[in-house]
Amino acid sequence: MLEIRELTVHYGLHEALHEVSIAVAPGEIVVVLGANGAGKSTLLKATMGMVRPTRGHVTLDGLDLTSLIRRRLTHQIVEQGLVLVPERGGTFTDLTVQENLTLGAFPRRARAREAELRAFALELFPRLKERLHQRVGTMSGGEQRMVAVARALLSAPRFLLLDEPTLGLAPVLAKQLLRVLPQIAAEGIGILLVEQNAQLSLSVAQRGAVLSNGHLVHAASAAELRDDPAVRAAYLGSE
Amino acid sequence: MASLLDALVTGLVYGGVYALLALGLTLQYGVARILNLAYGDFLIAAAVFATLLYQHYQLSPLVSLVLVAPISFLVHLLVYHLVFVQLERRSGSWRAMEASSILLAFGLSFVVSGAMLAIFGGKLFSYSYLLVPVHILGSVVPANRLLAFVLALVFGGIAYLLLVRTRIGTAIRAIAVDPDGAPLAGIDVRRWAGITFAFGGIICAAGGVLISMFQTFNVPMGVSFTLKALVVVIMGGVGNAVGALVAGLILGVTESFVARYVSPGLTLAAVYGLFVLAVLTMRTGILGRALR
Amino acid sequence: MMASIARTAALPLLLLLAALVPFSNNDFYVALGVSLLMYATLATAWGVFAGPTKYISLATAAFFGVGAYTVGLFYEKIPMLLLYPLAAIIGAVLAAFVGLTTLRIQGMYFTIFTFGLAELIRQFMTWYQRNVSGSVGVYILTDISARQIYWSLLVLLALTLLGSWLLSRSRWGLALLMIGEDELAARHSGVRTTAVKVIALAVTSAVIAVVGAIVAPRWTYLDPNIAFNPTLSFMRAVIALLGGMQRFWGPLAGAIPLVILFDQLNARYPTSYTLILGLLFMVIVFVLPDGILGLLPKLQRLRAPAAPAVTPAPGAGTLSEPVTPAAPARQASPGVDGTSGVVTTAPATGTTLLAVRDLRKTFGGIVAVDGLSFEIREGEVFGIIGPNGSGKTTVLNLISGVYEPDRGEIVFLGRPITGKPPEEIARLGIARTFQLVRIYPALTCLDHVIPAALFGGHARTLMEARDHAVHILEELGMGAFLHVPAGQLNFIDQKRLELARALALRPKLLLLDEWLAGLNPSEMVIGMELIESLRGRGMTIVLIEHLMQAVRRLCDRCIVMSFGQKIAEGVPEDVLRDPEVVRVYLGEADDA
Repeated sequence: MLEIRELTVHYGLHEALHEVSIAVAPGEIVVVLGANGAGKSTLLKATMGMVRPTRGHVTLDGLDLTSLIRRRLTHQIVEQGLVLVPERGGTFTDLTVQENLTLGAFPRRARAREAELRAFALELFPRLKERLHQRVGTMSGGEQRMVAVARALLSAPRFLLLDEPTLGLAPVLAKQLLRVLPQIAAEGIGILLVEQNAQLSLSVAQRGAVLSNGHLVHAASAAELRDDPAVRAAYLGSE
Repeated sequence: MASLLDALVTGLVYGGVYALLALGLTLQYGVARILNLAYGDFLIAAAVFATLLYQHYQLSPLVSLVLVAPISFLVHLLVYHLVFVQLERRSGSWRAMEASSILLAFGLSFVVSGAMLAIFGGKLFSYSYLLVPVHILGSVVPANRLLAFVLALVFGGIAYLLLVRTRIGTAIRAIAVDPDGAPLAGIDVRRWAGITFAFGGIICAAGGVLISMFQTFNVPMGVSFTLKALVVVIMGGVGNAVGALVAGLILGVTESFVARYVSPGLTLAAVYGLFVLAVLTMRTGILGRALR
Repeated sequence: MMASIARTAALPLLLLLAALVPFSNNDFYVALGVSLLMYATLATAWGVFAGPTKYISLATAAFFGVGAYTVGLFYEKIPMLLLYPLAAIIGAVLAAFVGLTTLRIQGMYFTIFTFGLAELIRQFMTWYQRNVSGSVGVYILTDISARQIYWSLLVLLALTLLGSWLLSRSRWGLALLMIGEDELAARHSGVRTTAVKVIALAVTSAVIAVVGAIVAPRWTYLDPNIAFNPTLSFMRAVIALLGGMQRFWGPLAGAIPLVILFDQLNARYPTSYTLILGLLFMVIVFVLPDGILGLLPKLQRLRAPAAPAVTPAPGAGTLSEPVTPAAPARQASPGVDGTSGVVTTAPATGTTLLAVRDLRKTFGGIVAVDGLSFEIREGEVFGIIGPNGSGKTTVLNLISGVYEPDRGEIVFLGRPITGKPPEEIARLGIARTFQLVRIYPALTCLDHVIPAALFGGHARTLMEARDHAVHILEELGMGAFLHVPAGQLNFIDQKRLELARALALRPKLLLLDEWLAGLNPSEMVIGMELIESLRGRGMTIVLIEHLMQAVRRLCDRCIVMSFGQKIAEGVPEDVLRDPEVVRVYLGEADDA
């Protein structure tokens, strides 16, 4: 169980996240929706110790990660099995696909299962198999996203955090990418997904929540949220 | 014709060593983000070390190489953690950190060269090791230069393979590509940046020993070695090993030709000429700094 | 009042006292004084450039040596009084060359270039003297006494300090500060950063060369090793650092103790001199990162612990109640500054102000903007909306000159501006704000706005720019914060400050990049009212926004972007109902 409790983040005087609590069970996909600037990325970054939260706790299967987060020891949080694919990033563009995957298994906990996870990742993204020796920076946006997710998988995550993986992807590619998530969850990996693409992400998630101005304003099952006017309002601002 | 060939061969020998030096410096700058202005002074320290061991104990510079590597590693690791990491902790903005780390490295260069000046002054060092003529391509080269050249390429090659073929080497390159993203791959950036800085220190020391095998030097020459290594790094592109090799050879050959056909006193001017060319042909994206 | 008079009088008094020293007829004091004045001048000149910009030059010895050699080579042929300006010119030309080569790009190249410059010129002079003039080294036999050198240096120091003081109060001083803090934001305020940097470097280097020229006769014999001694660059850095780089008194405060110390060290431990100097330097960097004078505020704080950290001036309602300032903003609208008297609401029928044609920009294989065309009419509020990553900000960066497009054309007021640098585009009348506020936390609000008023090319004098800046800040309801450092403002006031900076350019077109993002609901209302009041005054505005209620309320027309392309254009009401737009925003459903 990944539990985020009352996480609050300030950037200077600006409160970017206000007492957000959210939990993900193993094998579950939870999506956090919200417009630009609602605090979605901040939620994930604070969970990984990339920004220092003002208040709040994070526990991973009962283990309190808060002190690692406060000291911003992101690499040790990864070592505990919490892995983030950041918005747009998550790959080393000057390195090849093969090298990126090797780096995925850099955490010690991931080494034993490297071969198995590599095979799994390439099974999910067969296209990468042909491109192992290509530099990631020369690949298309969709392929780069695949590398990022595959690399994260090689770190043997217990919980996977995804920050807008479909950002800038053509609809077909976005769909392809998100369709892979249930297969990952089926391996017992819990997924916390942050998305702007509401319809598509709700179609793969079990539960969802809406973040607005740093506040978690709405949480429900994915099915309920799909027809909810609040979701529509969050994007189009219709009354 | 023969002298042309001589100049070329001499240039290539120096160029090989410069390329090695540049590799060490580019690792330190690219990964640890430290513009190590004390590089040439550490190099001279290693060269002095090898010279003294040879003169007093008839110890082969090859043995000195083995001895100096771990010492240099430790010294650089200490310098990184005790000096630069502390500085990073206390400086606010990145720009302020960059400015004070340059000044700190400048100060470090005076500490290292100052310590040696206090002991040795400006006296010249040299020893004759393997002073046997070897005939190559119709040109005569002393065996020590040839050995230094070969060793430089071998060390550079080993370092390159370590960086490219091992997981840790890959992680180190990943830090150079994206220091902010590296922790997300479970990489402890500070730890590995320190080790890389120290590894660059090994390369620097090895270069110093190699240079001591064939060149007369003194303590104040550290500056020009730092400068040459920096120019090779800039010409080859920061973090580019193959670029460093090519640029190193170009610099070595240019220097050697200028020394032979123009004047030995103008070699540094030639280095600066290459520097200016490299900088002027560089792409001048104004986001160069903003986007880092 | 008394204190400020005392402070103003302190320097002339000190210099006057210093001028009396040679009458003591004590050679030791005069000699020490010469060293002291020399280093104080060098450190001041260096600090003027390096302090604000943080571009570290390591080449003091090079310029100093050039000055000394000017005297050494020409003193028999040219009168002394002409040699000083000659040294200054040579120093400035050399510096301009260094600057033009390296200051366009990252600071690192500049530092590296200066690092070896002294050594380069030393070797060159050695070569020149050996091969051309026949002997290394020259004798300088003049009848200039140590006293005369002392007084000359004193005059130069006084001039340098005066220059530094005037600079810190001038537009150029502000420009240098902005360059050090955030060069891109400075360019968007219309600052020609490269020119400012090169000129500042050339002038300070000229001063350093003159110091070399003044001091040269002391040596009677000059060779390249003396003239281009790298220790000089280093000592100067130590002094400036000990004193505190950014402070007016810093170089003086650093020079006095250090020159006396150097003198002692050099006499007692001549061989370990460099080592001790190096160690001392590292200690200073660690113990006194802001220099001796940096300690003063800390001491004052210790003495008066109750001093308020934030300094809201009396009557500053905005820090706690963000609602109040909206009122003055609205009231002040019509024609207060003489720029406009138009208070109509929808004048969107004007001529074309900006035309974008077939714009394309890629980043490493990823297409950010693809074949985009649109036109903006004078007086309208034009929205650019679209999901994250659809290329909105890239469009804005292309218009404002941050990027150069791969293809396509941007025409502003009938003139193509494609590929022009940001400072030129700012001067032509296109102002912008940034998605993430780019302010200088240490500078006051006024200092943010004045440069834009100056460099935008409107205000002719600093006073005029100041009045203009005060006026704009007051209009935006920030009159209480004129002298408050921007870092202490709350979020909406920081955003307002960015807007003020943009408005100070008196733009014809204002680009707002998610200016409302991150505001809480009540701040948002103020923000929208502010934009409306600008529109009411006839300002043409491009609004990049993701808040649809803002788009509905503010925009006359808008385009929607998706994957770098325009997928819809028109009145917000229609556009937001377009099925394609709805689909892009909500994403595709499972079965779509």
